[in-house]
Amino acid sequence: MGVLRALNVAPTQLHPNSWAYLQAFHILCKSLYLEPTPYAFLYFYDTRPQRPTTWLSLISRPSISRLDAFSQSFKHFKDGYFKVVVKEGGKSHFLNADGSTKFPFSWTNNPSRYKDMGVEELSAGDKEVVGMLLKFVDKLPTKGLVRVYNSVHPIIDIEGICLLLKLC
Amino acid sequence: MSSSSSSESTESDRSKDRQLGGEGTSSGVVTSGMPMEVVREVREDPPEELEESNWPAKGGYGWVAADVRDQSSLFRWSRLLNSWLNCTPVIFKGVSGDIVSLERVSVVDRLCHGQEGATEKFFYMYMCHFSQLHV
Repeated sequence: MGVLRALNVAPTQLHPNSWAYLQAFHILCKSLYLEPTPYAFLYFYDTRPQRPTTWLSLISRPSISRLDAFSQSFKHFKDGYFKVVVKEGGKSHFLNADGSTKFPFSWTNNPSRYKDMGVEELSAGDKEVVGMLLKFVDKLPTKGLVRVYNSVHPIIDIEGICLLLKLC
Repeated sequence: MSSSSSSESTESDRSKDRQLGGEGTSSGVVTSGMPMEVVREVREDPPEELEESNWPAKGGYGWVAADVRDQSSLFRWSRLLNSWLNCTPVIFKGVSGDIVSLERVSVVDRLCHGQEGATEKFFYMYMCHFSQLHV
């Protein structure tokens, strides 16, 4: 979906609670036969990059937010990270032709700031997605949506890697 | 004479031990802005993983908040990572051996560190991405 690139952050730099929004948004769009796009997603959030750099969180815009906060505690996520090394066969998924990476692989000191994005900044496709989601009156349960993902794709989650690759 | 020389060497061993965080804490010790290692359990590990504790710490991350800069990984040992992978439905398994490989994090590496000196491109992911978020 290119959200990491739009935010200019590495995968571990985005707070897991914000990853939960991203997952839930993806499920929601798929269930509505909509194509999830980075800016349709980011339209619902603001970011406030901190200095010195720390985990970046997406802040729901209260008036338009359609996903509630992911209630799971992520107290212990920080030390549970491991290395994903791109092998020869993965290069085309993760790297551009010139060898640069499709999203930041390492932490950056200048994540993008988003504040009150206007509808006019969106492409026609983005507007369609946003317009459809705005028709929902109530907040949707982020946690429940993320769980759906697990029940639909029980053990070996091949779509999971596809989602990760879509970040590219 | 001989007792004096032996006490000298003990002293130097001790100071080396202190430098490497011999106090037995697992938190990083910050010396002149650079995160320094190391954890005591390392000693039970295979020689090549143990050796990493003597690698110099990486500098140049003053722009990162201290808690991020000092954030080491639980997965410093292959066997710990492998045992976790065995009981978690990580999507990469069996699907994409040629696309990516999942590897442990060396003792001196920190969450915010970049690609310095790496021969292959890599990024980090959290275990919660898979265990709770089903990424």
